[in-house]
Amino acid sequence: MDSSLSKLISDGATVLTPTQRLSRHIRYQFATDQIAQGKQAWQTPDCLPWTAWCKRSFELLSFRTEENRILLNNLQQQWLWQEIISHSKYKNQLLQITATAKQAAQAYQLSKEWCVPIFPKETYLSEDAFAFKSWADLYEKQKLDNHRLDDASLPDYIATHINELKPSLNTIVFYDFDQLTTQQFNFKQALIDAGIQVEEINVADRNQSSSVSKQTDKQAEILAAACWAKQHLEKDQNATIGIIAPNLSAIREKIEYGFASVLTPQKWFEPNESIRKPYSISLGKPLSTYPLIHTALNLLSLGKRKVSINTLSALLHSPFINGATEEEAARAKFDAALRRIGEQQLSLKTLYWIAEMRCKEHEQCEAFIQLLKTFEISFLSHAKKQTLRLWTTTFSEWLSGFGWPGKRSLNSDEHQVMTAWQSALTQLGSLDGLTQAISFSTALFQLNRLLTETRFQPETPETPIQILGITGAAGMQFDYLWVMGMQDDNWPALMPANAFIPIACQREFNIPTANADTQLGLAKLVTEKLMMSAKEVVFSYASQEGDRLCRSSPLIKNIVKEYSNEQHEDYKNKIFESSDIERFVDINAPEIPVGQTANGGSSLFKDQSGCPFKAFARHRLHAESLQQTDIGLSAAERGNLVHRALQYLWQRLKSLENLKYKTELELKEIIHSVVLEAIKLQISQQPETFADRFTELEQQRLEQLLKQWLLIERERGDFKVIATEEWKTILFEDIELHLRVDRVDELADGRCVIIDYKTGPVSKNDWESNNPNDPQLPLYAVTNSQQVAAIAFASLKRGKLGFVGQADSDDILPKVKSDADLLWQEKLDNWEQILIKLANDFRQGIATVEPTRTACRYCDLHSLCRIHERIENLDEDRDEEVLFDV
Amino acid sequence: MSKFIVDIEARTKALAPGQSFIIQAPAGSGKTGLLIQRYLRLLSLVDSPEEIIAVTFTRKAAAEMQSRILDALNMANNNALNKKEPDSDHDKITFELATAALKRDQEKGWQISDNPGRLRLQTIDSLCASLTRQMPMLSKLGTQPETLEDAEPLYQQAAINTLAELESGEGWSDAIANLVFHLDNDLPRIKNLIIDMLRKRDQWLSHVVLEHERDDMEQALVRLIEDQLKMVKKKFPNEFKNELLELIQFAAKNLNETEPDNPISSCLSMTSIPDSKADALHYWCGISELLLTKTGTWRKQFTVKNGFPPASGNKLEADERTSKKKQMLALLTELQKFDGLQNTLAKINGLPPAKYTDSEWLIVNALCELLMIAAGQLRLVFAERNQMDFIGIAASAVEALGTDDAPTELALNMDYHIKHLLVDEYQDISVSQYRLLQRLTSEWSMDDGRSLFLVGDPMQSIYRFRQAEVALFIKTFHDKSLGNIPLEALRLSVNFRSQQNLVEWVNESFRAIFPKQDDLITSAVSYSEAVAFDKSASNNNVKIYPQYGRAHKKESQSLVDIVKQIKQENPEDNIAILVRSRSHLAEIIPALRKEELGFKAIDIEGLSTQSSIQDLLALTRAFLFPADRVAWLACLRAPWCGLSLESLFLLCDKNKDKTAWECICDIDLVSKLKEDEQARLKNFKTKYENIFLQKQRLSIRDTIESFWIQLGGPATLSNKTDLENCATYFSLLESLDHGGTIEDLKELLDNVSQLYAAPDLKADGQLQVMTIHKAKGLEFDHVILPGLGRSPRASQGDLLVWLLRQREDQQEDLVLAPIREAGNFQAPIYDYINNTDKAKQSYEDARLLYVATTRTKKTLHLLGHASVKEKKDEISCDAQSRSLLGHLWPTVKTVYEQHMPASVEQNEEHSLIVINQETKRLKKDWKLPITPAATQWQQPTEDGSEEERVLIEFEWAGETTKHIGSVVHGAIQCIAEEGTEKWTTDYINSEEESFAAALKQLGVPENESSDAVKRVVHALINMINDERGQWILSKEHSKQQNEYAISGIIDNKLSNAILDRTFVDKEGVCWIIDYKTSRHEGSNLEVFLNHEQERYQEQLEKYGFLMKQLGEENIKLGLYFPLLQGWREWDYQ
Ligand code: SF4
Repeated sequence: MDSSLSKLISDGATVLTPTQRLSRHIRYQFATDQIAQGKQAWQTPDCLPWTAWCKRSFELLSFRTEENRILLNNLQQQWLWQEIISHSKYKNQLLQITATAKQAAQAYQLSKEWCVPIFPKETYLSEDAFAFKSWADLYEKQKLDNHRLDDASLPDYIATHINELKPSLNTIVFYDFDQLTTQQFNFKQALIDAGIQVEEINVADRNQSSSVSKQTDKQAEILAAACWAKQHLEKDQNATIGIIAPNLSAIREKIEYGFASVLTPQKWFEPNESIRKPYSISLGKPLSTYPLIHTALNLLSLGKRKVSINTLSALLHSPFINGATEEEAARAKFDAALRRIGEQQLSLKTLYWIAEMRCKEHEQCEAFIQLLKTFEISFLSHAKKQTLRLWTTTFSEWLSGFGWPGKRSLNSDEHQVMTAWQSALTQLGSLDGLTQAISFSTALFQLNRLLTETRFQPETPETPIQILGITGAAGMQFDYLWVMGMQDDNWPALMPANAFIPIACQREFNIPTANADTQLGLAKLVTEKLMMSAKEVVFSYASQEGDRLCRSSPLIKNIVKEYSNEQHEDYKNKIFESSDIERFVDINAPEIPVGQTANGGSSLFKDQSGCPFKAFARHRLHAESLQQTDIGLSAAERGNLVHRALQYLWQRLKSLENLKYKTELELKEIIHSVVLEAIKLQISQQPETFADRFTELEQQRLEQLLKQWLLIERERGDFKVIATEEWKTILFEDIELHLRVDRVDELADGRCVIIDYKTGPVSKNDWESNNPNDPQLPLYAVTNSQQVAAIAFASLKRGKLGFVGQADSDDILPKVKSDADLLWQEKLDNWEQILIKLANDFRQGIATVEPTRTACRYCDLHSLCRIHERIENLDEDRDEEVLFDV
Repeated sequence: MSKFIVDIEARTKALAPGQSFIIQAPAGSGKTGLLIQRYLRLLSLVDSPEEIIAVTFTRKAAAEMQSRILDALNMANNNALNKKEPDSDHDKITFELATAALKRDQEKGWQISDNPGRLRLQTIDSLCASLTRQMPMLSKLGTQPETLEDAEPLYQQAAINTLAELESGEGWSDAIANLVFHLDNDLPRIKNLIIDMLRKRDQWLSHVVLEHERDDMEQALVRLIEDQLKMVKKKFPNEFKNELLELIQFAAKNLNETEPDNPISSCLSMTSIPDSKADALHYWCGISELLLTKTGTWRKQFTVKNGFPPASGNKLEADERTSKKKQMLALLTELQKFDGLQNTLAKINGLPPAKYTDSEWLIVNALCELLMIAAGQLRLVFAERNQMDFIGIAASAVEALGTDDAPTELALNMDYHIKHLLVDEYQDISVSQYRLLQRLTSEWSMDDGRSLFLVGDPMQSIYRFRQAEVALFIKTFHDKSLGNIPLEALRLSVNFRSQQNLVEWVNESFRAIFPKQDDLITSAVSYSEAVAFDKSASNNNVKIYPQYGRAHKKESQSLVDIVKQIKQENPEDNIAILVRSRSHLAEIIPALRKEELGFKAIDIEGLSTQSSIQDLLALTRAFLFPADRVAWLACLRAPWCGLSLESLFLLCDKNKDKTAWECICDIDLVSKLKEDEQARLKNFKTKYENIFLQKQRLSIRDTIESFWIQLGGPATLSNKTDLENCATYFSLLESLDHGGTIEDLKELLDNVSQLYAAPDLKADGQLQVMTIHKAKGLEFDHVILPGLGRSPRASQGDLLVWLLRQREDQQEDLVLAPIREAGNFQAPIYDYINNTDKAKQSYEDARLLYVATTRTKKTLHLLGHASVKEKKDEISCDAQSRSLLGHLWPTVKTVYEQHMPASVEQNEEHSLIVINQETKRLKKDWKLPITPAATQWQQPTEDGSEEERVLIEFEWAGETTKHIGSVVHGAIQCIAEEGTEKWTTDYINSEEESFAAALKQLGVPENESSDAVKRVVHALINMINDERGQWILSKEHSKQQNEYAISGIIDNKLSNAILDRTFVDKEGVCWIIDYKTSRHEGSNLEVFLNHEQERYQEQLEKYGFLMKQLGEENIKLGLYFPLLQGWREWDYQ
């Protein structure tokens, strides 16, 4: 470490730094030096960032002045701005008040730092400046009226009390400030005027070599830096290595990943906490993204009227609440059951109902439901409004009610997250002085926001490799330094000026962001200092970003030496190269022994016909995936409703004769009541979707549909309905099938017609070929004991009403023709042969992957049958093609 | 050379700085070069570079332009040093301009080469963003929200919220209900329709208001009809009017009985040739029906269906019938001679009625209301997330620029004065972007030195689906102005890219393909001729390869042959295969692979259908959702585990109610498996257990990737490119991480479906495969266009369609039509507008073809199939009208006819899909390679200064106690420094307010404040009145320190300590004293104090140790309890 600095520190000087990181760095370096000198103990250097020092001075002053000022914390300042803006006439002009409040606070801070009065008389005020001025005036007034201070004006306040402070002050060192703000400059002057010794020290040049490294893209750049760091660390075990990325926050995850892959490749096999990482990243992620906190917020969101299925599912799988291990399987199954209901959002009430009424035993997770119930009781009986401080207590209580953070013991990172969580709660409580009693949702919103805005990074012991943003790097010294992201569009970076201060004003008072030259100057300075701060420095850039080509920054154009790295040897690649694959044909599952009956529903034949593998997977492996939910009714649910309504309708009407006998009014009444009944049943299954208005609309829709449908039925010859939605068990080729036949009509001649209701598209080709698309009706036809005269789909799609089917003769159903080439009995025989073949294939366990042209489209087994590695292109026979692709 | 550049004059003119231009620059005309020249020219004149803004549409284009400008400046700089000059004319001019610009830079000290960010070469989106950023209030945004590239999830949310308003009981619920019913209560579909509309809301937002005037819109319909009727009337020859009247009445009479609905029947009441009033429309329809066939061509014969029954009945009647028919045919022959008559007559049939039905009108209004709600909901969603899409930002930017009546004073609101605006690819401008340009320049006046420069090629406008509106280019070009700015319209014609033959072929073909006239309503662009710069002639560089019937296999075979041949003849050249749609490559890619022709496919192959990604998805799903049995079984069958179907069956059979994991854990079940299958299963199980223990401790990416690696996932991939694809998948997981997990599976699946496989790592760029859209702006030596015979899918139809027409009085007529009712097929107004839209699309398709064919420098290969028909022994072929071949048909028809097959045999290929039944898996004895070694490093001295934190239940009472402690500490420090002389009991009492303030500062709430203050005061007064306290505070001691910070090494760890007070007393004892503000009620104070001593002993010993290291001897440790006036001391050992 710099000897003059070291001397000043030993003499008890206070060292001020621009960043927290630098203070820590200096303290650590000082300690290392002391240890190197063989010392066991020493006086801790008084070294701290400028802002922290201001705060400390304020505290020292609290008993030394008569002014009992209150220094607002960040959150409080933010809150004040928000309040002011949301009560101003501009409130409706803003997309988001909180974001604007932040920018206003920044503008205010800038105005203080650069001593800009708001605003000088002759300045032209744009609408933006004008609005800001009106807020700032109010803000200052509030501060004044309530004896409050904020960070922006703190240095000014301290400057005026320098004499009270003087007894506790020693020499003050400004260490490596690239550019003092006007406020800091004035402050320094005040110190000197008060007779306090002030020193300025800048980093010394230790550069021995600089080079440039061109990388193909960001990814490669990160890997190169990581490999380089690794090499240096292994060579020189006491080295300090810096990695600097100007846009660290944007690529934090990528960096973390890249460095972990290179430096701690064992991470793939060892749990996270057992690995000591040689690197650390000095940039946090939002606290709310940490799993523990995320879960807490999810839990608290149960207080909302409805909860999304995704949130519930996350909680059901969360390791952070009670019963996670004990009920693991049950909770997973309950999740699947919830999704089957088809609602995207649920109230807790519905959830209990599902748990009780719609779940089989193995899907029930009582402990989980109990947790919810306990929470709900407490929630409902709780005061509707209270202060934030009380809310934080309540939140904590509720969370512990869920057993949060869970039975699994916390690791060190999680431990720190919990501490950060508590300090966030404390902060939130500090708003009490400024707020009234507020509602649950407001309190939760505030908590949410605070947790999103708080960046947090678990502390690690000092590491040899430090990854920093460019501002965080100020003044740091390393043995080796790698600076990434040196593209010309990144560096020099032109920061946009704050829009609340008139640009002319900003230029007059030298705010750097208002001036391209100043910004360039600063960037050059920073580049130079980076170069000075280590023995060996590498600047790197990526020559391509997405589809854009990039050039290196002009600020490093004078460096001629090039650094070229070795390729990182990726472990994944190594595994890939070790590959040793065998291929085998596995298309025969165990057959069903003769004499043993198999079970199945009506979809068995359809599946077998569409693709043997599908039938095997569905009906013998019971392969099912989770259902996707959407708003409103799915096609299947719409179908069910229509089925049900028609069932009730024909249970009432019984025959065509009866239908014709009814008056229009009677018919209307019947339709109304059967639809009502059908919907009632569906409501009980999907209570959320069937809210009042939607129920009304469905009633209307179905009544209309039924009315139109009856017109078609009237065109038929006499019939009696002898079965509606009847469950039958039939044995076909030793397969026991449980089937539900939508409807069977008996004609005047005693033969019957079997009808299948369809609300989707239908085609009579569905029964053609050896692999019929929909063999259900043929199956009914060949297994029916009574003679069958026709089978038909009743197409119930709005605008496409009618019968589609095949009949013995043309007069049986309107527009349904008999086959010109084949006799009806031949037809039936054909079908029987096809069905027997399908049945036998199924029994034999044939599981070849052999889909018909359309089978894969609505099949969710792609990953299990591995169809994509079996054929080149599945899209092949899609007739419909997209409009165009880009 | 310059004598070859025939349009040199226009090119020179376009550099005039004070003047504004719109320039049409066809493919290959080097328009970017021109733009750069102008930019340099302007640069040499302005006061700061920020005064020039050059706008492009993609970041790539902006970056390219920047690098070309910087290169030019650089070259000028270097050449000035080397005194070298470029040789081509174009480069010479650029060089001169750059030299001048450089001089300006030096004069003004801009340092552009060091600070290239000062060049404002931006996308139009970033221009909008910079405007709104600079005008937060005027843009009605406040602080700039984050701009989203893809706002799809937000549209979705807004659509869902909109539909939820159905139940809100607000005024608009009725409107939503009406619309929902109109579409058969199909909420998922309506949701998607709303999303489609939100995606392009800049187009309709201004047309949507509450309660449109029905009358206005019906008037607009009337005008629309009458305009058309006027045209027919004008075209219809007077001399044949009477004859027609006579004949049509004859026909009407015949039809009236049998077919009253036939339009001809309605002409029975016609007494003269109708006028052009809208209520005469049905007459005109009758006439059109009489003369033209359904497809709009002249009739060839007249039958009973058209009112001309065969000659029968009595003689008189029969004669009349024969003669009328003859007469009719004669009239038809005459009429055919009139140019344009057929066309205008044909258009009449599609005309909409002049009135809305009541129910239609109800839906128009309901829809407008619904769309307004949707837009409002979208803004709420934006607000909630503080994010916005480009459309929103653009609209806000326009907003910020003020209204036409009260424009914003830009000069005062922005950091720099905009003096020159250059827009590249102007044909891709959207309505809202056009408005932005209008507003930006609204304040400009003639000759104030400012300039607008618009350049583009309307013939290459192919971004309609991204709201590009080529009609705006046409309008600007024809009006020769944009808003108030007069523009000079110039046309470039020289093509620097392609050889002469090609240019001529393109000229010839597209002259026929493109419409003759520009048209604003249908966005029709007429053709503009090009002249080749490269006169080197080579024949035969356009080749056509006809196919008949859906012969995709044959076509791909011939494509492969072409590629091979080019490669053989010109091994150095590059080749591009361009298609309209990815699915057109279905046969081609396998064919190329089979022949081992390596190619780079850019964004062509979907990632979601790669089996490696399918495996990873299954792994992810299995981990996240243990009840997803398909995923679990897929994982067990995937090559890393490789269980046989038999094993899966043994595990699953009869266990429907268990999760797969439960089955795996069932020892009895597992024991039924074959031994090596058991081993495979066990391996998977162990790995899963390991990873599951760490659930939500790692990011989801790390979790799944670790799992995959442990299973040997990379070893199951078939090539190295796949490894790349997997990395893409993992990055996606990373970006969707919510709290260490993925909550929304659908989001993951949607995102995966939008990813494309990485281009083949092994292939060089010599053969490339991409979509035509992607190829825009690129050039290749050879271009192959397969699949020209294929048609695109018809578009789905929009929720609301509209038609804007300019009236004669310059007002605009607006007609709206709602989507067709579900299941109801009557929607004439909607159909009419839709047809206009189809015409637009058809023109755009032709332009797409133009873009595709102009990408080539040397040769062009066209492949496509036509359909063949056999009729009366005559074979004919035709292209599907909506295919690109359909557009090209006039040019290629003869070629197709020449090669026509002799008969329509089975040209249709029923391609048998070959399905490989093999399954692959890692071999039994495969082992992971040795894990790479961890980095070797020495851990530096551990910084133990961060104290071990103990987690305690959160509660506020503890907080207050803590705060009292800190205030007391602070005050004691002050007393120790300032002395007890000042800090008397009275003084302490008088300081209550300070204490209150300090407590408040720390966060002690109002209601606890007075108690807390009391405790502070109590503690301090206790201390100064206590003998022990006085001794501690005494200034008599030497080496006094308060809040003394020391560090040192304890147990090899760096430790920090802050000592409340230390001093050396007269006896030479070094005291280390800590204050404790503990409270104690009740008896047994001594016991309590002993307890406290025990509790803090270790801590103080640590202090003692450090002090000893600092050289102190004879150390004593003490705890002082001011609230209790208690004291404990002991010797440091
Ligand atoms: S995806 Fe296709 S091949 Fe696979 S099981 Fe389903 S239908 Fe058969």
